[in-house]
Amino acid sequence: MGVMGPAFELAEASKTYYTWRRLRKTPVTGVREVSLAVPRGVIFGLLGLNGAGKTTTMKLLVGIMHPDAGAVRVLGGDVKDPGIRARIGFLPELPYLPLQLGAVELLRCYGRMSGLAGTQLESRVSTALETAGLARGRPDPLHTFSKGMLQRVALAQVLLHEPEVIFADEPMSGLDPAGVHEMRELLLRLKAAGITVCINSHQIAEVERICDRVGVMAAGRLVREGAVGELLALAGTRRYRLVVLAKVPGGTGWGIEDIEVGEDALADVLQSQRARGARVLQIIAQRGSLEDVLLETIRQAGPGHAS
Amino acid sequence: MRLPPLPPSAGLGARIPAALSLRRSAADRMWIDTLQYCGDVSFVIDRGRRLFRLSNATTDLDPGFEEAYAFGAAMLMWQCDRPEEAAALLRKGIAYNPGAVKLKYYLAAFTFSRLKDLAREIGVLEVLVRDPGAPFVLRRILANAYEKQGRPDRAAAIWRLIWLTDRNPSERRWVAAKCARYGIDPARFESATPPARTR
Amino acid sequence: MRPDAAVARYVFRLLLRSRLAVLMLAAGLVLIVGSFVLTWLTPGTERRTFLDVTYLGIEWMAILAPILGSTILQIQEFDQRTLWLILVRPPGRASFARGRFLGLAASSACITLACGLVLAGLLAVTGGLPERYLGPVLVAALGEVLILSAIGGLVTFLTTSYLTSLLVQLGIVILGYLSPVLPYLARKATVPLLDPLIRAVYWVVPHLSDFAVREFTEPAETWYLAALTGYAVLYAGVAVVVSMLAFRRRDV
Repeated sequence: MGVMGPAFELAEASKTYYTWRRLRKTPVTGVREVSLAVPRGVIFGLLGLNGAGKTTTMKLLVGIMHPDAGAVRVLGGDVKDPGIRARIGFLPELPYLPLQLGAVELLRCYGRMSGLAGTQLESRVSTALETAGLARGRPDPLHTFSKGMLQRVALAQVLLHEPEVIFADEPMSGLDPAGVHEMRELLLRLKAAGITVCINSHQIAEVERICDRVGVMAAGRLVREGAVGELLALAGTRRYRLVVLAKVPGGTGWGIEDIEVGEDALADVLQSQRARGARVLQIIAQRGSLEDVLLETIRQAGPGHAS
Repeated sequence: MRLPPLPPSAGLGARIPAALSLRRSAADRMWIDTLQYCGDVSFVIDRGRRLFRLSNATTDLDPGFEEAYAFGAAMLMWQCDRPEEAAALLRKGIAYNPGAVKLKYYLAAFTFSRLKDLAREIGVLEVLVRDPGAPFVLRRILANAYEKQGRPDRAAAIWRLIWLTDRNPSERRWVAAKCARYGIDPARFESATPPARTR
Repeated sequence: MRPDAAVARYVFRLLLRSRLAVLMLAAGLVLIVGSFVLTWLTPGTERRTFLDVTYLGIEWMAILAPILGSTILQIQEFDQRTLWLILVRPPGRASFARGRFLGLAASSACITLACGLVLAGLLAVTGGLPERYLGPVLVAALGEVLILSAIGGLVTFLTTSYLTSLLVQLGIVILGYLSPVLPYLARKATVPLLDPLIRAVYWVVPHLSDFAVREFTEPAETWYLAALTGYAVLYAGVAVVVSMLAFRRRDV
């Protein structure tokens, strides 16, 4: 972890919600005894199916929720400490912004709450808008903005106070391919600048692409966590692609066939191909993906872990 | 500083607004009802039978509402021929507002009217008519008193005042009828500059 | 104080930019026009009618502005989740509760004072000044703004439904105006449990009937207005402290 300690950590953190069903208070597990420590300067991805506890975990980390048990620490301190909150940023899945204000006006309000003032505030607002890809001059209220522009405003408010840790809930949700590319590049730039990023995402391909470490959640528990490479190694080589030269059935010539086969069936398939007189030209091992890891992990975690 | 408590006879129509600190607004509403009633044909038909109850309810809610006492009493006395109710209303007003000189003048005018002392009655009415808040009906009453006293010239001055300041058609018809008895053309009243108070 | 001021400024802008301000000012205009119309029905007492209606209107503005404002805030903050992006920032929950109260009170006070200024302007134009009740009515109205802004904040932190909080606040206002009647009702209660309950309600609800200085036979004196203001500040202070405690552990 280094001298500076982890960027954020949870120690046996638990959170239970309560809902009312037939006049009875029914507990619903949010997260259960989650322990996690993420080093600084990485992009950490939190994966899981719907209802796994990803957003709850994130809300505990940014201080919107309080854990019922356990501890949550960010940058070595309690997230209740204003000094810690001044150093973190949160990008929610949807832009929860008050739509009657204008973009610059709103950012000024957020900036003041983050302790900025005067020329520093104006400069940060301009920089944040520029980084988020918005022109500063537009004075219209936010309810005239498109969904994409609102997401950019939400992004600008994260960058306003130059946080050291950014928590992003589904940052690529609803973005078009160009938007996804932009967001990916931005996250990588932030990491290059030494900022720790934690993202929840269903876009596993993107997580695999940009994250250094991932955690897999199921039914409120953190069931697997580690570097992306380590988890992909767990997926192993489970499937093979055979390129086979064989006689065309019912014909006189020879043709190339592609056969996909699982690890368990590989020996039998090879034998059967040889028996029919085919020649195996190539055996290509297909590496497992993070999606495979996720699904396998959830399967191993047991029933009741899929939403 | 606060309004005095409602009398024991006050009904729910007064108690609910009182409980919600809406006494003055409720009194204003009753006042509007009173004025509407006096302008309605039913007022003439039943000789102002409901006027005392309406004025009483208005002044129960706001005992300091001097205009309600004055108007109600004036109408009861001179338009409805209900002098006992008029006097009762005035005495109530004077009891709640000992400093209200105007109401004492009204009581004096009623007393002189009942004693058939026309000269003193006119003397008091002349004072009351000068009050900017005096009911418009008072001018009719004073004009009638001048007529009864045999001074149509002074009555004509009042008729002219009413003609120039009151746009109410029924008032103008009344003035025209009075003028016709003396051969006066009301149109001649228009030539002078009208007084400040109009309706 | 700076975090409180930052939140207060944000809430103030939010409310004045929302439809609330437009709605309230439109209602104020309708009230003034309506009171002019009513004066046609009361010849001889036009000034009284006009002033009674507009003073009542100012008081209702002072009541409705904080109630509607806190409801709008509740919808935005909790239903539309704009609160999330504030809670992740340095102002703590206590600071947020205080700043929200200040912003709500300031915006409601502006709306109330705007109506008072329009009335003063109309009186000046029609030669109706000086008007001795105007100052006391405005001071009392601002006291109500303080109290109801604090109550609005507290109720919206305790309830999840904006409809519930709206009804609870209106209920508190009605009980506040009925407060002089409550001891009488307590004495008349036939069920034994109701007496202490009604007395408890009497001590808890704000005594808003004391703020109806427009009903006084003479303009309220300075000592009375000072006492009213002190009561309003004390009551609002207690309500804000309770709302800070209520919001401390509330999940959003």
